This record gives sequence, structure tokens and C-alpha cells, in this order.
Amino acid sequence: MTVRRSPVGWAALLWLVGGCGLPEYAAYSSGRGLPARAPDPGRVVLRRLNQTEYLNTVRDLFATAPPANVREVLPVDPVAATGFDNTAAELSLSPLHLEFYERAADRIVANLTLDDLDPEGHLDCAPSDADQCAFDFVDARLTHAWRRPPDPVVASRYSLLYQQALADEGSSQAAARRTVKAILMSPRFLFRMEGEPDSGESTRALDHYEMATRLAYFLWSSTPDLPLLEAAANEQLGTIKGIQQQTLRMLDDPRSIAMVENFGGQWLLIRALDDVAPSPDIFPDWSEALRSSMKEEMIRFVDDFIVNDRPMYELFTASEGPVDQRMADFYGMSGVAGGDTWQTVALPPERHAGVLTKAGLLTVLSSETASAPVRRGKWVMGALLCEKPPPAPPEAMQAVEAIDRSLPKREQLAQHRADPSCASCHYVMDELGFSLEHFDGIGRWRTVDEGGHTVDPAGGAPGVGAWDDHLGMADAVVASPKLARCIVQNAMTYALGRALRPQDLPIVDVVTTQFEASDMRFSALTSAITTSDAFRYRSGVAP
Amino acid sequence: MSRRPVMSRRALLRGTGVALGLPFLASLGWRRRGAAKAGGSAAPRRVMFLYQPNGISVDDWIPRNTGPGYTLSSSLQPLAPIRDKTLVLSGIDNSICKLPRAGDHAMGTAGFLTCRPPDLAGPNLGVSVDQVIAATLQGVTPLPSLHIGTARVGTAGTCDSGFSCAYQANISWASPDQPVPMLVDPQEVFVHLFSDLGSGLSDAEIQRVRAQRGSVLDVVLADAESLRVTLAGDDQRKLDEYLQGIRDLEMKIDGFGAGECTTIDETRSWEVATFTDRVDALLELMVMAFACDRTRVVTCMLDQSGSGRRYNWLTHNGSPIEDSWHNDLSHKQDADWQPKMAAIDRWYVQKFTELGLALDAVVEEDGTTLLDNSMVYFSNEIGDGNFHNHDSLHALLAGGAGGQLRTGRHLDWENQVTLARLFVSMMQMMGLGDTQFALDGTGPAPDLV
Repeated sequence: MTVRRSPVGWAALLWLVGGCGLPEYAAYSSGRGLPARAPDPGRVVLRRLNQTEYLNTVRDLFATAPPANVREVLPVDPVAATGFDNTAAELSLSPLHLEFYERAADRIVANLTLDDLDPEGHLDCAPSDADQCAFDFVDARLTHAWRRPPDPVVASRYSLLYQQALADEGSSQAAARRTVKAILMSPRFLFRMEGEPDSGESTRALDHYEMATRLAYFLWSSTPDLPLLEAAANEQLGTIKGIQQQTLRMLDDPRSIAMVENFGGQWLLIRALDDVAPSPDIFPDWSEALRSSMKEEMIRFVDDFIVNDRPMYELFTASEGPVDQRMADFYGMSGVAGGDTWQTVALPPERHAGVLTKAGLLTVLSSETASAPVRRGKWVMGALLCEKPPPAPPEAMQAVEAIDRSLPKREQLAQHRADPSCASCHYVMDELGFSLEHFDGIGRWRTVDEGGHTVDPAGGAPGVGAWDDHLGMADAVVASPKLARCIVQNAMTYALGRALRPQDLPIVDVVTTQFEASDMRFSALTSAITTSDAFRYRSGVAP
Repeated sequence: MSRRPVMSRRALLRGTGVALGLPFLASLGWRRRGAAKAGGSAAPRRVMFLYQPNGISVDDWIPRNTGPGYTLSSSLQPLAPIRDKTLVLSGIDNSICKLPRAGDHAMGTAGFLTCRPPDLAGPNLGVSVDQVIAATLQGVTPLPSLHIGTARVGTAGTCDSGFSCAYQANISWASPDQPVPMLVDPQEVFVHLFSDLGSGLSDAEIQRVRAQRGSVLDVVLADAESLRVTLAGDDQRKLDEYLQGIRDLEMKIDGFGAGECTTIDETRSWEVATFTDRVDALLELMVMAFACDRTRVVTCMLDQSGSGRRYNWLTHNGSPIEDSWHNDLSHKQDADWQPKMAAIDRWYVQKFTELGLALDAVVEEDGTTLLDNSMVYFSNEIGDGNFHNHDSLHALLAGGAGGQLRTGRHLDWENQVTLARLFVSMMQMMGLGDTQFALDGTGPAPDLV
């Protein structure tokens, strides 16, 4: 841990000795050597498709976007304590969900023609072959929807349903609709199934289809496509090489935008832009169009790291980035025309440091009426360095009550730092946050803050470094060895659908080493995760 | 007998006779099934739980004196029309939901209907009181319970102080790790409530729909049951949640077409433009749900926990209130936080009153009203918005629970009575035999009857 400039003595010391921001796995000392197979790769409980995964899956199964009213009927899955909405243990299913799934399935199939439902034309066959045709139709649909070939006994239930429906309705389209409705309500569609270790074994390697499913929901938030299922059928997902090949192919596919929308959407808070409501009194320039441009800017900026496999530290340093005319104007650039067309431009380098200075992120990390340095600093600390401050003590509110609000913000916050119970954490959070004070509550550049005080972005924090301004802070974050590891922890939590445990640390180490060795490329991050033991194995139920 | 008897003209006239021209309530055109039966048994009991976030301006809300002759506080002024049918409660203790840490919005919301503290590791709470009651109505009404919210939960960002967002996104819990999701779109609520009436379908068509839906369920149920035996412990529990849902759905399909709300307007658009329109539409649907006996248990989150919504349709000194409710007002950052909080509190009491009046306008066969036979509980996840207290809580409880509840009073429990005990009383008034609830609901609450 380097301390380039020593900030106020005892508060910093408290932090250093563990008064705040304990690394999540302080007890673990890294050995960097790893057995070929981790003894405890972890167990992910039966995982329900979340709202996003369900919608993407339906889109990819039938090559057409589900009708808008399907999204309306599916409940939003709350963000779990992990910070992600794909955490298996929290994806519960209340009795109401089934009713919603039935309604969603009704609306989906009502929109599909026989050609959509049976693209291979299995049902277009001679009456004498009707039984076989029905079975082939069902087998094809189940293989795709269940992400593996069905057991014939189980499949026959669905082909019997088809025949019963055909007898009732007299139309193959109606019968196919009813059958597909059942498939969309079936447990093997709604849940991602993974098998158990053989008796006497504590862990099990996932089979090829289970691997295909993990890959697809990690990289695409969707179902495996036919080439991936074929790779599984050909048993190509049991080797590092085979998994790597598919990982890279899938990153190359447009569906990998899901990594930006869902992983980036939650880790970098892009999605949270949907929920902000800056005060129109204070930010008269705020508009729905601006919200949408800010969001698009972040998505395009982050997507470039996948598409062009850029080093991920540039996420926090790059001054060039995509803008439309609205964002160019917002950032005070003259001479960028083009209306709604997006282009990559060099933004003023003295102001811009990747996502840290994107208006979208800074708006999310503000209150409705003002910038929120503590919230910003806490986010940098937690999301980028994985230092999670313990929650504020219950007395914190009283300390905040006593603050004199006419003072410059820095002095206001210095007041709560006078309380030792707050100081150790707030020192780090506040310093990080103050470095971003040049940006107001919607991320616009300023030199004077809302209280009329001149912005002073210089600062420093133990374990991070010292800086003159936000650019220096960004450099310090990027220079921190915690950054790569923290990106890995976030990505693994998202990839596995579970919180990480101390037992996972050897794997985190291996992935971090591979990620760093690649100069922090996105492809290396994802490949290192998909080929890791945590991704390829599953533990049994703890005895 | 006709499958769906038309409501009697007499009932219709009686209904309109007491309609009060509420801004949101259409005139009464529906009746619950079975009400036309001669000499029917006593009208059923019903219960609603309404949630207001962010605390209140306590000094403006709590009446200064108690008993039947209490003086309406300034925030409670809108309550006047249903004052006689409402019990004002204060000094309720729900500090059992509090852990010695920050996160009071999560803890208060988690404990709002469960009276338990949340688990930091992930959803692990207790069954909420509405679900305890709903479980006894399984199969009695088409929906055991209805869950409504006015805003979709956020899809990014960690929630209050590191707790799972599930604690703030829901107030109803079917089991310790199963929060019950809410519907926020009035159109979807309408479909949810009334699509199973099968309006406009012949008996034969209704039979056909039942058979179609049933055939699908038979297949997935058989599939799930054969799958279940292959799963290990925790996976099996997840699948059991699914199986329970399928069985509930089977029951619902059995009831398809058996409803008899003859005057539901299927063509009405439930599209809403503003938050206030949404609240009005959802409250109206809640009344319709009771009046048509689609359910007897409703929960509603009137806004999100920690909502920063600007209540700018309300004014303070003639100007719209543009401050963030949570940050500026509940945390007293704004110089005029108190009158502005009070204005918001008054608006909620106004909505509560409109809801009460709407329920009071629906007359049952015996001449009593829906309100007389219901309990409408309205409270907050915390008391004072800034102090985040979970004791000294306030609540409104409207309706008589069929003459069981002594209303028209202000009752101050002075923190000697837990919220869980109030819930024990409410469960008993709903006909349950339970004598305990959650951790500190050791018996019914005193002085209610």
C-alpha cells in the first residue's frame, strides 16, 4: 500500500489499520499458486431467468422482439446485495410470478406465426408421419428453449400436448402456440438447471450444455445460439481452448452489448440514469433528451472497450469519446455538428477522464439538487477499489444534523470528520469525492460550487495516492493495484450469479493475473473468468 | 341460474345515492359475487395495507389529545369526512425491525408488515401479515391478495446501506426469502384483476379456455414434479416455489369465468400520464377489487422508500414544491422543510380519505358498506424522516372490521404496544385464530374494541 502524500495523521492511520474500508477479504493472503482444480468452486443455486434474460431469451428463440406488453407484465428483479440483479439466491419466485409468466407466454405466442414457431417446417408433413413430425417439432423447440436436448420421455409429454391441442383446435399454428406456451412456462426454461456431483464427490465439472448456458447468460444475458449448442453437442466446451474460442466468438457478436447494458449498466450505474430526477429549478437544462444522450454516451463509450478490446484502465482516463451534438454542446465543445449522429471526438483533456467525468455517472452520483461528493467518493471507493466502508453508525444522522450548512462543503464535511466514528471512512470517501467537485449535479463543468465557493479538487487518500485534481485522482485509481482485482471481483460476481466468498480468492488471483498480463483487456478478463474453475465447476450441497 | 346475475337495480340506486363525486371514483356499477343471494351470511372482512415512505412531519401529524373528542391535527384535516370511521393510532413500537446500524429505510420497509429485522446477507425476513391473512383466503377469492406499487423499482445501484434492494422494493413477503412483487401499471392491474371474468364469453367458450390453460399446466406440473426428485436441497426449495405458483394458477383457472362483475368497463383505457393520475387509478382499482370480491387483501406502496420525488403539484406559499422529498424535506435540509413535509403528508391523508369514502360508497346487502366491513391500515416505514425512528410510529386504521373496531378516536399507546400486537388484533378481526405474530406480537393489542 503506497501513501504518496500523508493526509491528516490519525484519521488516515485509522484507515490504514483497518478502521475503514476493510478489503472484503482481508484475512486472505495471496499465494498466486493454484491447484489445477479448486477444492471448492462454489455452488450456484437453481437460477431463475431475470426479467432482462427472459426478454432476451425470447427474442433470440424466435428471432423477433417480444411485444412491449410482455416487459410490462414481468416483475422487475430488485438489485441484490451483490449490486447485480442476476444473483441466483435472490431471484425468488413468488406465486404471483407464475401468473405473470402465463400472461407473458400468452402474449408472446399470440404474436408468433407458424413460421416463427416452426422455422424448420417439421409440422409441414404427411398425415401418416404426424406423430414423428410433432415429436421432431417439440424436440427442436425444447433443445433450443431448454438449452440442451430433452430426455425423450419428458419431451413426449410436450408432443402429446401438441397432439391434444391439434385435436382441440384443428390448426397446427394454434397447437404449436399452445405447445410453445407450455415450453415458456416450463421449469427447465425458467430456471437454469445444473446437475449434482456423483455420490461421494464434492464437486462436478459442468457438462458441455451447462457451460454453453453459463457462457451465453454471462456474455449475452441470453440463451445459447445454435452454434454454441452445436459446440456443446460436439463436446467442445470441456477444454480451455474450446471455451476461449467460444468466449471470443461471442464477444464479437452484437449480442455482447448485453455486457455493457447489464454488467456495465449496474457496475458503472448506467441503468440508474433511468431513475434520476434532477431539479428543474436548479438544472433548467435538464431534459429527457439529455438523459437519453447521457445514457447513450456511456453505453457507446463502454462498448468500445469490448468491440476494440481496449485496456480497461482507459475507462477511467480516456479523454476522447463518443458524443452527439447535444453532449458536445453540454461539454462546452464548439464546432461539433451532426445532430443525433454519434462521433468519437477528443474532449478537452484537462476536463475528461473516462467514465469518471461522464455527465451520466456524475448525475447519478448527485442528489436531485446538488453534487454529492460523499456519494461519489463512496462509489469510487466501492465500485473501483472494492473497499466497502462499513455502514454509517446509527448516530451518524445526529452528526450530520449539527453541521453548519453555510460553510464551504469541504468544511461542512470536515465537521463530521471531527467525529472519530465517522472520520476513518469519510476521510477517504470525501477526498475522492471532492476531486470531482468541478462537476455539478448533472455533470457540467464549473469552477464555483453551489454554495458560491471556489472548487478545490486537490487531495489525497491513504492507499490511493495524492492528486491536484480529478485527473490526478483518476490516475491514482488507475495506478492502484486494487483496480484490476476489483474489476475482476465485480465481473466474477456478475458471471457466477453469486456473492464471492473467501474460498474464491485463489481463483480471483488467477483471473487477476491473467487480466493484468493482458494489459487489462476485456477479452482477457472474460476468458480468464469463463475458463476459471469457479465458472466450470459446481460444488454439491454442503453436508 | 345465470352464471353472472345482473346486479339489482335497488343496489345500484343505493350505490349511487351515496357516491360523493370523488375525483377518482367512477360511479358504482359492480357488485361482488354472491351479494344478491337472499339471506346471505355476514359480509366478508377485508383488509388493505398502505405504505407511505420517508416519515412525516410529526408535530403537524399527531393529534395533541386522545380519545373520541380529539382535535384533528393540521395534517389530518382531510380526514374529517371519515373521522368517525377511522382510528388514529400513535405511539406504536416497531423498533424490533431495527439493527444497530444504518439503513433505516431498508429496515423500516422490511419490517413494515413483517415486524422483523432484515438480514444483511440477503433476503431473509418473515411472512408478512397480509400473507398470513391471504393464506386463509386461498381459494375463497380469485386472488388471495393484490399487491400494488406506484413506481417501478430501480434497476441499478446498491440500496440503503448495503442491504439487498428486495427489502426496500417490497412490503409483502410470502416466505422468509420470497418477496411478493407489485404491479405498478394500472392497465396490468386491471387485467390481473378482471381478465379471469371471461367477460363476453359464452359458457362453452369459458370451458374451452379453462381446458386450454389447464392442459398447459398439466404438462409443466408433471414435468416439474418429475424434475423435483432429481434435485438437491436448495435447488429443490427453489423449484417448490415454482410448484406452489403452478398450483395457485390451477386454482385461478378453475375460477375462470365464474366471476360476476357485470359492469366492468372492458374498453376503458387505464393509461395514465402523471404520478397523481396513477395513484388515483390504482386506488380506484383497489376499490374495484374489493367491490367485485376479486380479493380481500391488498397492499400498496404509495411511493418508493427513500423517494426523492418532487411533489410539485402541491404548493407552499403559492409556489410548487420542487424539493427532493427525501433529501431536502425529510432530512430537513430545506429551511421550509416542515410546512412542505406537512403539505405532502396532508396529500397522503387526502388520498387515504378518498379511498375510505370510495369504500364507504359501496353498500353491501345488509346495508353496511365495504368500509364498515374492512380495515384500511396506513402508516410509514419510519416516524420522523430525519431521526429514522421505528418507535413512536403513527397509523390510521379506517373501517370497522364488521363492527369490531372502535373507531372515531385517537389512541396513543406510548410505545407500550408493538406493531406486531396490532397485527395480531387485525388478524383476529379477519377471523384468524392466531394469538401471536412475528417476534414481539405476543397477543392482541389493547383498547381496540
